[in-house]
Amino acid sequence: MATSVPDIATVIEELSGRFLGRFGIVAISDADENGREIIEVFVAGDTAEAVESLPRSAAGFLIKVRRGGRIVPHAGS
Amino acid sequence: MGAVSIVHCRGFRPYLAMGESGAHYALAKTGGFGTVGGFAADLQSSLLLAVSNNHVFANDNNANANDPLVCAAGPFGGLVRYHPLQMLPAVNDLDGVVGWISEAHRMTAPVPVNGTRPATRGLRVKKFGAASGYTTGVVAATAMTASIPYDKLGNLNFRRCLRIEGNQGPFSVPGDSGSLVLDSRNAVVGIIFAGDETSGYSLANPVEALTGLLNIAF
Repeated sequence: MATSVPDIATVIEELSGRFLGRFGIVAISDADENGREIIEVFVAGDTAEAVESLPRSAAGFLIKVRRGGRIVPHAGS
Repeated sequence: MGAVSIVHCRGFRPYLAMGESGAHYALAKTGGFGTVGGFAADLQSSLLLAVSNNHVFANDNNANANDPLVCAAGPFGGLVRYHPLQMLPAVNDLDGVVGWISEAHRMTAPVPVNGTRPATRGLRVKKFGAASGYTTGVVAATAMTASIPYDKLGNLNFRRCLRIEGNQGPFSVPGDSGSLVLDSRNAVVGIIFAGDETSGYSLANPVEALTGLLNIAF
């Protein structure tokens, strides 16, 4: 019996409900890696706690952790 | 040298340019600004409206209809409506707003905006921002969620954002909020509202949210 593959945006939103704002995670994103869809998790600061806490994959999409900064509104002053 | 006299020119109308700086008057008083992203038809009236972010023209939900909007040369119009930014646990789809433009102003744009198109990963894009001017980049993601600290509202969550990588340095910097993201044929694909502090990628809301939630058309 065929099983339907969930849309990556839906998987990202489900992951975000559990992880966004925790362990320094500021964003979760789709990405292309050599033609394959993966999930990237952006962490502000040390990534060790996020790497330990996150699953290796979700719904068949590989999860990779990337270090970055905070994301801020782009108004100037 | 003879005396200098001031002659009032009949018919002089200041310009309001796509990509120039603009802000809600209260934000401008504190030195804050963003970008007049561009112009869109209001589907609820016959007006042509200026488009930007809630946090630029509506001061993080802290604004009323007809509040003055200002550009570098002074007031240019007033607030029409904004999509409210929602606090946790809600998730936001748009940081967007539209304002009316006074009849005294003429609108101008560096390129003619040519409809809309949905973003896809790998799409080459550009923008005209008040802080960094013309930049180009590539859409790296179309389904990004993000937790973003807003000055007056605390951390807000967003979903289905576009992540844009600049081709030469950041695609946008503080002051570029509200810039429309255009493809190579000048179709609108999104609106810039945030960016990463260190690695230089930018976040935009997709054009479907911008037009659908504000009831406008390009």
